[in-house]
Amino acid sequence: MTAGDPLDEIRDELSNAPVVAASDGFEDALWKRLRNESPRQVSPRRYFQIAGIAAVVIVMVAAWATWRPGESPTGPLEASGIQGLAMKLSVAVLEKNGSAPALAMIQDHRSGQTTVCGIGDTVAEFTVVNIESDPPVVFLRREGEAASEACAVLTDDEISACSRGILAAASAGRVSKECLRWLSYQASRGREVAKLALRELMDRGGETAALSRAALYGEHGAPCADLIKMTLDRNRPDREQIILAIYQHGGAEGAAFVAERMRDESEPLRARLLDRIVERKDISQLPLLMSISQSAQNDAWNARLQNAMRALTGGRYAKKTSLPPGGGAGPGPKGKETDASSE
Amino acid sequence: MRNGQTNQGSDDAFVALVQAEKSRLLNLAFRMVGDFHAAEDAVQTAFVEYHRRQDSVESAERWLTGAVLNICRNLLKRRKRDAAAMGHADMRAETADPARPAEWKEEEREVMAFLWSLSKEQRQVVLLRLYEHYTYSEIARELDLPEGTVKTYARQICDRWQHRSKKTS
Repeated sequence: MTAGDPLDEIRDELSNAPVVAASDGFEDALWKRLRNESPRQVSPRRYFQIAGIAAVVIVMVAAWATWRPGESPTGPLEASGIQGLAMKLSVAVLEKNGSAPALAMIQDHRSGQTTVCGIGDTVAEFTVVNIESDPPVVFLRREGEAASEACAVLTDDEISACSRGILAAASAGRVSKECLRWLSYQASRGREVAKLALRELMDRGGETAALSRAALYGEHGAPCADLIKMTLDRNRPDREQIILAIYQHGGAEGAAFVAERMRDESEPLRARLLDRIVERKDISQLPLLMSISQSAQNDAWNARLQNAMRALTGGRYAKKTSLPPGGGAGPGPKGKETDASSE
Repeated sequence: MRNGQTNQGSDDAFVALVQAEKSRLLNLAFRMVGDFHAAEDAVQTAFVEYHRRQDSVESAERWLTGAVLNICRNLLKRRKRDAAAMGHADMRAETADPARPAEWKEEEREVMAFLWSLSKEQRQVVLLRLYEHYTYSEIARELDLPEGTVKTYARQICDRWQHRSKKTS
C-alpha cells in the first residue's frame, strides 16, 4: 500500500466490481489459435507487402542520404555535406516588396526552430546568402565553429552556389563579414569560383575594410598582416604586386603600411604607388603626401608629389609645400591645405 | 528426445499458466473494454503472443498484464477511430456503456458504470492499482507516464467517485 494513497478512500466501494468467468470454449479457442498461428507463417501476399514497404523505405532513405541542394527546385535545403551534422533546413522566401529586402524563413527540422531573416543575416547555425536563387542558398556552421570550417566539406557545386549567392547579396548591398570570411577561406583553399567572386567584389569598389581584408586573405591565402610580412623579403618577385594589393585592398592597415613604403621604397615603386593613389582619387592620402613632400630630398620626386596633390585636389593645390622644419605657420600653403582638405 | 521433453515441459507450464491467469486477465480486459467477447479475444491474443516469446519473458504475470492492457488500448483506439470515421459527434466509443447483464447487483452496476465513465488513462490507473495491486511507480512505468501524473489521476478518480456518490445519495 502506498502512503497517502487517494484510492484507499474508495478501495472498499470499488471492490464491488462484477467478476466475469471465461466461457467454456475459451481454452479450446486458445489452443486452436495456437495451432493455427504457431509457428508464425507469413502468407505470400503479406510477404510481398512487407518486401514492398521495405523497398520503399530503402529508396526513401537512400534518396534522403544522397540528396544535395540544387537538385530539387522546391525541396528543402539540406547540408548533407557537413560531417556528422544531420541537419535539414527548409528555406522559404516570405516577401519582397520593390526594393525592400526580401525575407527568408528558415526552419531547422532537427530542432523545429523557425527563424526569419534577411540576406546576409547570420542566425544560430546558418547565414542566409541568397534567397533569390532557386533553391535559396544558405550556408551553415556548427555552434562554436567558424563557418569556414563547417563549409570546408561542401561539394564544389555547393561552394559555387554559395559564392554566386554572396555576389548577389553584395549587389543588394547586404553582405555579412561572415560571408566574406567564408569566401576568402574558400579562395585560399584554391576554389576558383570563390577567387572569381572575390575579384569581382574587389572591382566593385566601395568595399568596407572587412571586405578588403577578406579579399586579401582569399587572394593570397594569408591575412593582411601576413602579406605585409611577405614584403619584408625584398627578393620576392611578387613583392611589388603585393604592396600594391595591400594599398588597394588593405583598408586602414594597408594605407598605413603604404605610407611607410612611400618613404623607403625604390623610386619606381614609389611612383607606381603614387599613380595608384591618383588613379583612385584617394584624397584621404593627401596629408600623407604632404608629409612626405616636406621631407623629400629629391626634386624629381617632390615634383611628382606636387603633381599628384594637384591632381587629387582638382588643381587647387598649386604651391610648393616644402616647408622648413618647424615652419608651417605661414598663411599660404596652410590656407590652401585647409581648403583642399575641406572639400 | 530431449527437445521433445523440454517442449512437453514448457507446454505443461503454459497450460498451467493459462488456467491460473485467464480469469484475472479476462476481468482486467473486460473492465477495460466493457465487452466480454472482445475481452476474451484480447486475453487469447496475449496468450498466443506470450507462447511465441515465452523464452524471453522474465515475469509471465506482469508481461501478460501489460500485453492485455496494450491490446485493449489498441482496441479502444480503433473503436474511437471507427466512430469518428462514421461521423459520430461524441467520440466516446472508448467509454461506451458495456452490456449490463441482468444478474448484476446494483452495486456492481454502479461500479462498472463508474469505471466506464472514466477516461482510458484513469481507468487503467484504477484497474492496476485496485485490482492488480501495482504500486504507483509500477503503474507509471507500465503506462509510461510520470508518477506525479498517475497520482493526479488517482486523486481525480477519487473526487469523481465521491461526487458521484453524493449525487446518487
